[in-house]
Amino acid sequence: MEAVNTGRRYRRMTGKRLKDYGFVFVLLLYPVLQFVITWAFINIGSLLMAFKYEDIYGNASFAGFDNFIEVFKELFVYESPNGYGGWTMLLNSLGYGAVTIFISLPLSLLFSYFLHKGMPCANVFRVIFFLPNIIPIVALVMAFKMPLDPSYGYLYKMMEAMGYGGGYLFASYPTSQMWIYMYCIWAGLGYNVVLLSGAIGRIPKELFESARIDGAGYMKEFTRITVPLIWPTIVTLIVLGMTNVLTLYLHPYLLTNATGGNDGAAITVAMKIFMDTASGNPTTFGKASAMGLMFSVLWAPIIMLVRNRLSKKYDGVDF
Amino acid sequence: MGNSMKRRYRSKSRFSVYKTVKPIMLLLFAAYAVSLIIPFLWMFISSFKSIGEFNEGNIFGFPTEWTFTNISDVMKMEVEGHTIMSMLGMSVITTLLGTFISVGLSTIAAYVVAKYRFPGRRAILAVAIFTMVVPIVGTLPAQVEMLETFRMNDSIVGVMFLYSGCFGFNFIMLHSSFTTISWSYAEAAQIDGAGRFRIMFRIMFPLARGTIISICILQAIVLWNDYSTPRLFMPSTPTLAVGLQSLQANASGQYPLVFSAVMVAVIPIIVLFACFQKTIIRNTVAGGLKG
Repeated sequence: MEAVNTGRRYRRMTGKRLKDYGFVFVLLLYPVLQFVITWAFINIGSLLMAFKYEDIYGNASFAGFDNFIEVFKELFVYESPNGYGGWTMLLNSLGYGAVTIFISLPLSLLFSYFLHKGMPCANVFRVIFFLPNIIPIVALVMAFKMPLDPSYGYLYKMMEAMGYGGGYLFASYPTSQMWIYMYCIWAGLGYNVVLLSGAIGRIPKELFESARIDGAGYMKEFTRITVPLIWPTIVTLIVLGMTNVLTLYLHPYLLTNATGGNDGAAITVAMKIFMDTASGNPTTFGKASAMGLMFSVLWAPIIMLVRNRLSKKYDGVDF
Repeated sequence: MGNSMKRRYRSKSRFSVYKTVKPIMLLLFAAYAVSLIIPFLWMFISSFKSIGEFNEGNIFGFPTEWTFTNISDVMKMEVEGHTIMSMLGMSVITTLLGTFISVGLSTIAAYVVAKYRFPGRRAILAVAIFTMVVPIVGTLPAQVEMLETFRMNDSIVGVMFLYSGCFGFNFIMLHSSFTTISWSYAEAAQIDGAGRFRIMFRIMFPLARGTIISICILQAIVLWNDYSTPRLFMPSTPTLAVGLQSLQANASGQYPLVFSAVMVAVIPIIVLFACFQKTIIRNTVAGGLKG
């Protein structure tokens, strides 16, 4: 009697299990297929494309390592008529990493800490700082550029009054690059502050209180409590800063009116790839893929290594 | 006694350092906030000036004569063969459809992965996190080729196909939100005879309402603002975000019109964000992002 019962229950369980699997299968079919197809197509396609040469009609022929050699030349050898070329693309790209990690991040950390410690109108600031995250980049770029315009800009007029003229600020390298970095700090601050102040807000208040009772000052509280407890978020932002080196293109692209700057002075790795693709000219596709492949292979392991190293620094905290 | 006196003294001296830094920070805060607000305020006010008035030198003041025709003029204006009106329509369509498809699929996938045990479940989670952390760049040409192979290039179908990828940031957020919801609600419904679909749509999704709504809003904002995807994959039907760039490059000397177009692109977002600001800040980005 009992054996029959358990047997029936067992059968019912497997029936339910099977129906569960059916349900899961139906619902995950499209998402998983979409992912696998896209991922396989894109990655295998990029890999193949890096070794191919296509003519303007899209007819492909095997190119060996020609594309890679071309990329090397572009990175280190070629010079544009005005003399910035060669290393410019690499330096510009690395610059974004450096600026986001060493300037933008500490500044945002400071902002978030004080926002959390209590400022007059903290909530108003919080909402305003969210703005760069939701405004279309094209509009944000205009909002940054317009005030600096020699004929219309109020910031430019103010600078001129203080004796700093010099015409269109984005016209010549390296001034143009400096202003592009300024834009990145300006626009990135809002994003970082939202993430960091969210993380600081999740630290239990008692921790701050007990530190205060133990006589910790603000400096100590910041370095011994705040930073270690939001460390995972900081690591994420550092990793994002490092990926910026390879992925950032839209800001400089739009700041230079979709030209990549005078003689390509503002060009970055990702912008080169984007512009080659946007040109719709298949002859540039092989080179763009080769460049992407080369940088992914070189840079991704470094990012993973840094991430693992940094994560270990303060292990086991999670806010 | 002496010790406690000393401690109080010490904390007092630190307090004064904090007090001197605080006004400086407040100044920085204000400067940053002003630098974010003023350009948009200026564009907003200038969008009511006539082109003549702006070009004759009334750049910073209020309009002497408030002009309300700029907005209708710019709507009819053609940029590289498309009116701004048609771009606005395209933006609305891609945003609504794209948000529905991408958040809908992400929500379903996240729910299934969070609440059902099946082989491959952990692999899906691992892949979702992996693709988010590891940067693979330079795949844009291959994406173009892929859509050409599927005959989806230069059309909204291809863009929707790309948007329908659902194992990204939204998936992770939704997944973690579903794991915190207790399964006992579903068990109670099961006893009442509810099926799996009914439990999903009628019980679990409403319980995760806050997260789903805020992810919808954020996704809608991201898609509304998206420049690269429509620019690359449907170049012959530009959205507003794409058109704004060409308008800005082509309409020198007609700045009030450009400003009106910017306002058309920005105001819907500000309104949307203002309405859902509390839900968004409570449920998402500010709620946590760890990689």
